[in-house]
Amino acid sequence: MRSKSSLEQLAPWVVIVVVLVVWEFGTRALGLQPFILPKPTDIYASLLRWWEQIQFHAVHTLTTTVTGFAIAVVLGISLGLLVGYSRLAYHALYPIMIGFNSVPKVALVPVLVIWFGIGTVPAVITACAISFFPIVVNVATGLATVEPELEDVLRSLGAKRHDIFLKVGLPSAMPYFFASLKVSVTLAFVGTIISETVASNRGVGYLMIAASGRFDVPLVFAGLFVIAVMGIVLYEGFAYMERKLTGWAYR
Amino acid sequence: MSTETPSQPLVNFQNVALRYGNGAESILALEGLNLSIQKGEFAAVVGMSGCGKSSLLKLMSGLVRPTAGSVTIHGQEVTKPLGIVGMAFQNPSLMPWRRALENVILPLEIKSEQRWLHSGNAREHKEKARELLAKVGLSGFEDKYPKELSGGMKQRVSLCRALIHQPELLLLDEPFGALDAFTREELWGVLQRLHNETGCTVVLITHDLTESVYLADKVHVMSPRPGHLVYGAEVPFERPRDLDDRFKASFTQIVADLRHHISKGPEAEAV
Repeated sequence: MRSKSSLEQLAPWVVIVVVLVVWEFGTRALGLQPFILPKPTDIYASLLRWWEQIQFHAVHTLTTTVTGFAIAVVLGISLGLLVGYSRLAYHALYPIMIGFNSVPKVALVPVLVIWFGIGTVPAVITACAISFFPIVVNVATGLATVEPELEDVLRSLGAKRHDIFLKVGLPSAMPYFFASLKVSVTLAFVGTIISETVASNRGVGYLMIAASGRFDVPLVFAGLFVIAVMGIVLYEGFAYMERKLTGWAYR
Repeated sequence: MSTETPSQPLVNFQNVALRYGNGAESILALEGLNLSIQKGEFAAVVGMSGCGKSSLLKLMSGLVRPTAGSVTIHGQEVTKPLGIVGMAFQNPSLMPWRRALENVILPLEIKSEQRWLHSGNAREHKEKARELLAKVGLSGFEDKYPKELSGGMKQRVSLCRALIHQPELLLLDEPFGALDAFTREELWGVLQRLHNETGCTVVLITHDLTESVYLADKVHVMSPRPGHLVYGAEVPFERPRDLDDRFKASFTQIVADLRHHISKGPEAEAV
């Protein structure tokens, strides 16, 4: 695989710095109050000041997200394999899955609260519900990409359907699977935060709602930053795994 | 095989018809097709695209069954894949997650899994694949991934995969169609050598008439859909054949003759 040039490695950091600098001096020049749009330095100060609380809530959000995501992976793989293997299952399940995926998950949270009470469980379920669909679709699509010629080669040798599935279907689905993990894990954060903002007394989502109630907008932004950083870290983690395990699929 | 006599062909098509699909939308791909191929023969089938040439191979490999007529191999009706064929296509269709050597081994894995002997002779398989790759000029490329190989190299790997299990019948569906002219000529040489060394029976589908005459003992011309054979030309040249043979008058005469029988098809029907 081609290694990135130093410019390519530097570019994201340059962009981040430029955005922060423009933001800082823009808000100063326009004289915006911190409760309208805080400066990055205000946010940083707030981050330091509330660090312990932020840490506590961030860890909670992270474990909730990872739990929900892990369930989504198991569920996504199983459903994806089922739908990718059996045409009947595909036709039977696809409409209902698309319907489920179209429902805004925020509308689901109140129901979950009635069933499970306020707290972690609705957040785990929301994170799972929002992130499993891309995994299903990608696994199923990956399984369907087996070249017909390769299938003919195998079948002419007397290979059965499950041989083809194991030898060709599963490996060719791997790049799709890993690509979906990257996207899904960031979605899982969205699910957790949605649920925490609506019905929880813990987590970054709760922290942000509580802070905005006090017009402590710098703390709200500090929460957003923490979520963004966690999202990037997990995304990069899965991107790394993808490159290591399915590097053969990329030029 | 007590039913076999010396004169009996390895492959025999008798009045074969093949229809894809049912009802009004069905397509009659082949009709009234008769073809026999002797053991060790190199047969080529030429024709316009879409005339059902590929269906011919599917019937021989047992992937599809004829709608009417019979397809026999060694005098036995082909009812399911027999595992005695090797196949290669225009698209090398290698598995990108496997290295060249591991791609070549695939048929051995499939075949030995059926005999529950899989892990035992993995080393033997590798040795065999290494030898075969060397024969097609790919020594040193065993551990390369397909994406690291050129089009011609991939096609060589694909040929090796088709031959690794020593098939009695090698089925090639326009294997050189996507290659540039020089690579193609090189691979003609490779294929000719492999055929000579293994003695296996080859059926080559192509629309390159020069290729068919250069490689085959007999060239069959197929009509447009529903496909059947309209003409056959014996190629008398000695083997091994030389690339310069292509420019001899007797060679070009056969090519022109074949071309004549192909172009006659659709126009004659249209009138």
